[in-house]
Amino acid sequence: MSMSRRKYLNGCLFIVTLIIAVSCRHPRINADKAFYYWRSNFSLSEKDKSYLQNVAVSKLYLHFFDVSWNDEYNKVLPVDEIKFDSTFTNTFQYVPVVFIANKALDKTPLDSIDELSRHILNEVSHIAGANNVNFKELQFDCDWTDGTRRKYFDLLTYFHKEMNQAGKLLSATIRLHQIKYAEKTGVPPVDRGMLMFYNMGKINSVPGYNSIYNTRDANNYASHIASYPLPLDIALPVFGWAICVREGKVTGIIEKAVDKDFSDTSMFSSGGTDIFVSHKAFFFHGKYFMKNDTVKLEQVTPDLCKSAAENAGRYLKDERRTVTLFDYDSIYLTNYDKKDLEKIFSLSN
Amino acid sequence: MIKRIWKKSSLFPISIGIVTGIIILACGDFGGDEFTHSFFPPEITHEEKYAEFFYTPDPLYVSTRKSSYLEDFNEVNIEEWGSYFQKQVKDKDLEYILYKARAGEIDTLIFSIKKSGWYPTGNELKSNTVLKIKDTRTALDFLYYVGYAKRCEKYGTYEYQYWYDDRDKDKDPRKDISGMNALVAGGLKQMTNPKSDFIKQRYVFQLLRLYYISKQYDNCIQFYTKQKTLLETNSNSMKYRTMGYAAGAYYGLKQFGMANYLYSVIYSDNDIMRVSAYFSFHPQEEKDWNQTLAMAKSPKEKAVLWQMLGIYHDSFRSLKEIYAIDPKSDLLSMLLTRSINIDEGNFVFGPGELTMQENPDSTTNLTGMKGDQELFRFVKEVAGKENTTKPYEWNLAAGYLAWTNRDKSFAAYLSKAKSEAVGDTLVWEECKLIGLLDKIDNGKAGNRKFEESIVPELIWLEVAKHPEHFPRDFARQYIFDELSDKYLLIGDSVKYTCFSCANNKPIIQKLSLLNKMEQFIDKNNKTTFDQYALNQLPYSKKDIVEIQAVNLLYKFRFKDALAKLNEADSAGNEPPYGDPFQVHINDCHDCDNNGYSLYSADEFGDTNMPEVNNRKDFIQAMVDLEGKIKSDPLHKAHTYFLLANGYYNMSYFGNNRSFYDTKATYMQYAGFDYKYYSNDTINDPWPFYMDCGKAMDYYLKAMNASNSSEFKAKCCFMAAKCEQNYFYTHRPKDFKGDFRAGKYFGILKANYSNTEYYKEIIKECGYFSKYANSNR
Repeated sequence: MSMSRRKYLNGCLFIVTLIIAVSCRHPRINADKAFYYWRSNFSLSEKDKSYLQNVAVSKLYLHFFDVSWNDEYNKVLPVDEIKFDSTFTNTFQYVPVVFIANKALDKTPLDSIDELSRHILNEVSHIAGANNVNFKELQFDCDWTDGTRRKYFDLLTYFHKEMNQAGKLLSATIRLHQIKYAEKTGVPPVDRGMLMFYNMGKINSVPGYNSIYNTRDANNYASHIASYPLPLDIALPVFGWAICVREGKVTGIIEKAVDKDFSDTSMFSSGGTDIFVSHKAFFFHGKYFMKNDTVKLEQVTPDLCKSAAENAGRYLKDERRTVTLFDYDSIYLTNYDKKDLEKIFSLSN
Repeated sequence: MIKRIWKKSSLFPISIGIVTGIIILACGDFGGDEFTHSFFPPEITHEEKYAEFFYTPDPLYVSTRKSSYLEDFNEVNIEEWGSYFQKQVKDKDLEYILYKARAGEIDTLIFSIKKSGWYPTGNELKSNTVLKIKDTRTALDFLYYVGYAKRCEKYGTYEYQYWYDDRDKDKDPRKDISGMNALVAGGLKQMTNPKSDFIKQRYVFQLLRLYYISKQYDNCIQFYTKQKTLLETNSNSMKYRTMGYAAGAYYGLKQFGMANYLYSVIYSDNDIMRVSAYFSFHPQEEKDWNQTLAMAKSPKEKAVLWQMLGIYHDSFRSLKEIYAIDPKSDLLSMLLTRSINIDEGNFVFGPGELTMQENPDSTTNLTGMKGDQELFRFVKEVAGKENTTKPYEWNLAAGYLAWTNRDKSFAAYLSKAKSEAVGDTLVWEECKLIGLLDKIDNGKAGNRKFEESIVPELIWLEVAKHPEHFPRDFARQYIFDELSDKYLLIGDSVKYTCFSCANNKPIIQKLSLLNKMEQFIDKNNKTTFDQYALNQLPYSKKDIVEIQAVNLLYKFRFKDALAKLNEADSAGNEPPYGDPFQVHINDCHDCDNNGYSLYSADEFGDTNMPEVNNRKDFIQAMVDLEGKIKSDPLHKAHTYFLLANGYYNMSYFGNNRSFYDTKATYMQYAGFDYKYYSNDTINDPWPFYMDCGKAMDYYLKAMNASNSSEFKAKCCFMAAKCEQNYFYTHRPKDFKGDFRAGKYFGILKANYSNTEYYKEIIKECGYFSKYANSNR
């Protein structure tokens, strides 16, 4: 055999191996494509609908309301309830999502969890019924702690029974640390988990560090995904924010911020890439800045999101699931073209 | 130290909730938990009007936030109507009409006045002094208004029910826009009838409220503007209540500049609404804040705006602004204390909150860290000018900051503050405290003169009756922390221990130290400082002896432990939790404690059980049993068994784990989860008391020394229990379930299945029963 022939064969073998490897790494099963819709007023124009249909989105997760503790009323109350405009139609599958703040659970005695659950159930049913929202799945979002786990899981047990009796699914958001330390944090009693593949690091002011998503933090947790006992859907980030920092400490977050928000040179000067420094005291977007406060802009670019998707795909079991993006907001989505979204939804790069 | 712990929210961003009129920033889980330590109580200002806004991690300094403001004006209302009637109507009668009477009763009163002689039924009305008013027009105008107000009441006083299932039962009247509009139309007409501006103002209030509730913000503002002159005549509560609705309407229209200006006026001028106005004040952008500032009609109004900004965001900036506007402003005091209390976050740390590693410049926790130097300079400058209303506050603040900056001028400032605040005990004691702190800061540990000089002041701090708000406890903690650091540095471990333990730090359980502590306690010629230090030590000689004895006991040095306990009277006298030589197939410590067993009467019954009434008896019994091994070899098996029981019961798994408890030692893992813990779930090795190895050795010795199958079966089963306890603490991470049969279950099944005891085990022990019935 000549040398050139041997090279050719080796080359073929290499290509075949690569294809198999790639096939193993990336789930081939088509995912259900979805977005979180996290605004308080639900309104989808025809343009929105055709955009979503164009990228084959079939499902929307709707933030119905938060359950939080109100210091003033000394009560656990629903806040930020979604409002629907008259254009609402059941064009998509909808999944109501209820966020529960830990403090709400902290303040609710264990023997009152059923009562709280009933309140939430009636609230969800009322909002869905009044606006003709059909749903087959309900989702809870809560970053439960050791102290609130029992109560949260009792609440989920209540809903699991209610949903299953109604022929619906119950899902819960799962954070990466809850995957890694599942033995300690417990596995919520639900039908499916929604793995939030972002916000895994500490929100901080370190330049260049992206606390929404970065591969290093993701890899600290990701190897535990495959062994998690719940079937998992996955949520990926397409959002951004600005972190406000004073003397090295995070003082708050400005949502949906982009660099042009900080372009007024009478207020801010550039402090490096995506960093802005206030050079006097002033009010801005409802927040008060002091001289030398810093704003750090963090965004998930299409490339970063694709990298997150590819990384997640590497660790997830190969099974049918929903891939959802957080969240449906034109400020950031304008940076994503159809091909970007297709790649992200397919969890490949 | 001020700790801020930011918790990450739901992934999903932070939301802002709006509750009618009051804007609440709802941060989900992204809130700050903080607490504060301070040497500078804001009460030194004796400020009452703005005391709610002293620095605090809570929403308010004095009270908690209210959930309802509905009854805030009840008393004022009665008082104002009383003035309207020139005190000719009794308060209780007004109260009945205003807050208790039904609309029909008001009509009855009207008829009674109009058709003289016709009287209503019911004593409350019959005797109501409003019927005796000679000027019937005055009374009728009042009653017509009250009738109208009662019709408005269901809209105005409705408290929104947030949960759907609550509000469904109680329909929200605010959805009835046409009902409100009809009332508006009626009110506009009716308000022209009364002769008195006082009543007209009240109609305006009802109308503005209806406009606001029905979200007719433009109408609300227009009507308010039109009626402003009327509302400002004979100023009463209506001026501010109507202003509140106008402010809410501006806010609803996102005209934040005007909304915030009106809120600031209410905050400044109305005691009842001050807090709610404060919570409603929310500048959004610099532009609207500048608009608000431009609306201020006087330097005082401008200063109020700066004060509000100071409370929310930037006390020091506001302090400077207000001082520039008017050095005599009474708005400065609260902001001065806020600025100092906030700055304390830079240099005041609670005991143990800052290690010396973090603060290498100083042996102390406080003076090594600097506060805001700009604030320090400013406070000194103002104190020097003596041109404020209360110069003592500035001198005290300057003295305090100077001391924290190691600036020797502090004493002069404090002396001035004392001379300017004659008879003010809180200020005087503050000055004295700062002097003491400085003395301790600069004193040398081990120097007799220093030690003797601070004792009287330490005793003063400790026992004197101090004025309310004097920070005695924090000062005491701080001083003990300082002193413990100082004595540690010169190697005086005894005094270090006295002061650090006084601050709830654990005592170091080193034999040499504990011996030194004993000697110190027994020392005859103690100095007053020695005695003071010893008085702070939360351990007696008996406690120290018991700590040492327990450490020896758990090294199984029984004789030494006994000897140690004998050094102090009453040491080791604690009763056992149960019989420490008794064991059962299933452990039941509480049953043992109660003196009965849930199970077979005496599974391991023995007539020669040692009598144990306390920890000392137990140790003595262990010593005796060890001796008996040699002295009574015939009963060796039985003695080994009792010793094994003793070892088992003093371990974590036995009925007398409390033998380990002293003032300084206790068994952790009280909530040990048999189904959960594995080697992977703990960071450190298991503590020695989780180990049953010694008991197991003795059960095996007992088993080997006996010829009786029944007895051997018992020993073997107990060995299996020790083996299982080992498994609990060394379970492989991936192991499913809470039990794994070990070597001794195998021996039991193979060798002792024909014993009576075996049958007992099958009956009592589910694990073994399952194992015995399996084919293994």
